[in-house]
Amino acid sequence: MSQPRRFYLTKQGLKWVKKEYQRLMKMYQAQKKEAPQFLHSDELDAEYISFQENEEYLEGRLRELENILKHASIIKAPPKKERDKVQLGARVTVEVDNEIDEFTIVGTVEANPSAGKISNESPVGKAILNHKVGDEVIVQSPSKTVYKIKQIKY
Amino acid sequence: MKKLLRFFNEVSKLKEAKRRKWLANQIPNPETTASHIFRLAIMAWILGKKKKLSRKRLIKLALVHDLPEVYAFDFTPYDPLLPRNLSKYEKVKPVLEKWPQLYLSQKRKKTKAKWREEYTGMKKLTSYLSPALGKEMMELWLEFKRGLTKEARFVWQLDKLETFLQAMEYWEKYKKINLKVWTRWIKECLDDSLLLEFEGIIESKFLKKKPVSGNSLSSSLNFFVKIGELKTMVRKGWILRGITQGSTVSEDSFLLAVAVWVLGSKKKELDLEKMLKMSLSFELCKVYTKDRTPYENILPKRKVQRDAVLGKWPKFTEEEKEKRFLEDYAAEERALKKLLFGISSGDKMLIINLWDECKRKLSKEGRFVSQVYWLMLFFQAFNYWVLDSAFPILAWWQQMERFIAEPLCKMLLDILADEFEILKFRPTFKKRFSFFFRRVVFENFRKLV
Repeated sequence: MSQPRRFYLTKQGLKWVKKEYQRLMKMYQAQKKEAPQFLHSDELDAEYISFQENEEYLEGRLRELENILKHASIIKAPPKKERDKVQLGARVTVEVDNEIDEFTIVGTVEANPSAGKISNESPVGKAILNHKVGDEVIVQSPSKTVYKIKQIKY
Repeated sequence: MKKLLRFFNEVSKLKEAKRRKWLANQIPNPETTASHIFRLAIMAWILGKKKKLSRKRLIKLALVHDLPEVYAFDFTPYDPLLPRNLSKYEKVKPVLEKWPQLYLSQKRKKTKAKWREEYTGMKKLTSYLSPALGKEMMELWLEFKRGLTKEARFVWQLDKLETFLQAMEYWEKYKKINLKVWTRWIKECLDDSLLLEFEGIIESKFLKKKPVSGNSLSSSLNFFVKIGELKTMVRKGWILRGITQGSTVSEDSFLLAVAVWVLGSKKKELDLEKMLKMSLSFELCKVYTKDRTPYENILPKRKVQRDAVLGKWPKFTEEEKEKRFLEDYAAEERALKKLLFGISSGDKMLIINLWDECKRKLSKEGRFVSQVYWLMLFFQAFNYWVLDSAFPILAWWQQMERFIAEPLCKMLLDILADEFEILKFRPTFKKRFSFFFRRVVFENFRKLV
């Protein structure tokens, strides 16, 4: 049997997922209280179906969040002797085409490159993981972009 | 009901919203946000099947993901480095030549500003809908933005991939895109294995000029590239009536899908997923048949005579109507089969069946989508008439009174009829400023300033 997928989250990310879970749960419970009575036995009641659909939608989302929380691994800073390598949670400064760029390596749930968060499973994330300052990493593409690691912070 | 029309009018602004990243790159007649959403929704539908994700949810997520852009600023990866006003190209060009170099703090600030603008925009837009539907759309949009479900993460990455595909198409056509920046950007955005494989196939096709063959993903890519042609296919009906910058087939398909969702949510006996797919795929055949109007083969060459013909809806005998329908039907069926060549047989059969159901009105879903289709086309025509009194709207009215029978669509048509009665004697400039759901000229002006 395959191992369940782990979700790597920063402390802040975990807090954010929990908050979202609570928000949806509150909404779900409020909706349960407002549930319309299904009194018409033969015909389909539009309001009831709409309610059911919404309930199913919220249940689906809650299940997904429960799964994330159940299989969450908190991203911790590595031991001091390993901090010279890029690992999850590292804030990395790179030089590409003589330009400086910086981003943080996060898990897939928190990834958002325009906010400076790159997934560890993306080609860039995968390529620079476990590399050290001074390393030049090539991300495969027709133009072969070279990432030179300038700084790693935790 | 008036609020619903206001909602459609607001959403239809996306049919005119040229995407800022292409404007910055000086792409002539670039795609609009509506066109981008249209192809994204189809990509989500077709590729989502391979991931065994909920297709209905994927399509809905794709449809809502950029709705706030009705009001919110269309941020590009280059903002805030780009000047807001893109008309001064000498200031834009140097920015585009390099990777958008931003510090983490700048990236965070930008993300917050984007979130604030979009959240406010989405709140405003959904306020025109019933509380239940407004809440559903808002929740879906939040789901997309937060990426906390498999479907949301998939659509989020696919959104980037559709944009990347468009960039490759523009690069091939105009050579104006900074390829290095784009290929670097997409590798920071994707981590889904299927989408990464698909991205590789896109690069092989456009950059290495070695199309991957015999792979279902490469057939899907050819299909997506072909339907991309609908993004620039302006409806012939608008061109004939003198509107050269009219809405395109893909933009109308996007609005149709949104309208079917909104109006169909009141029809619980109908299958919404089927109707959404039907609205997105109904006009795909136009890739090959091109857009046709009821005036085919009957328009005189001289403008005066032609305008006189366009002033009325064409009248045919029952036999002629039957003949024209069968000709259209056969041409569209052939076109669809050609377009779907190489696509998995399941998807191919489904798309052809959906088109057939809608074309021949064989099911209740087909009849409903067909009614909403005509209503939304008329809605667009009405807007053109508001902007220009010379637009021959009376011919449309006569025909809509015959076409529209579905009670919900009829109610919306009646509201438009009331508005028409108020506006018809007013000169054009007064119409524009009194029309209750007019284009908000000042809003756009403020954005520019």
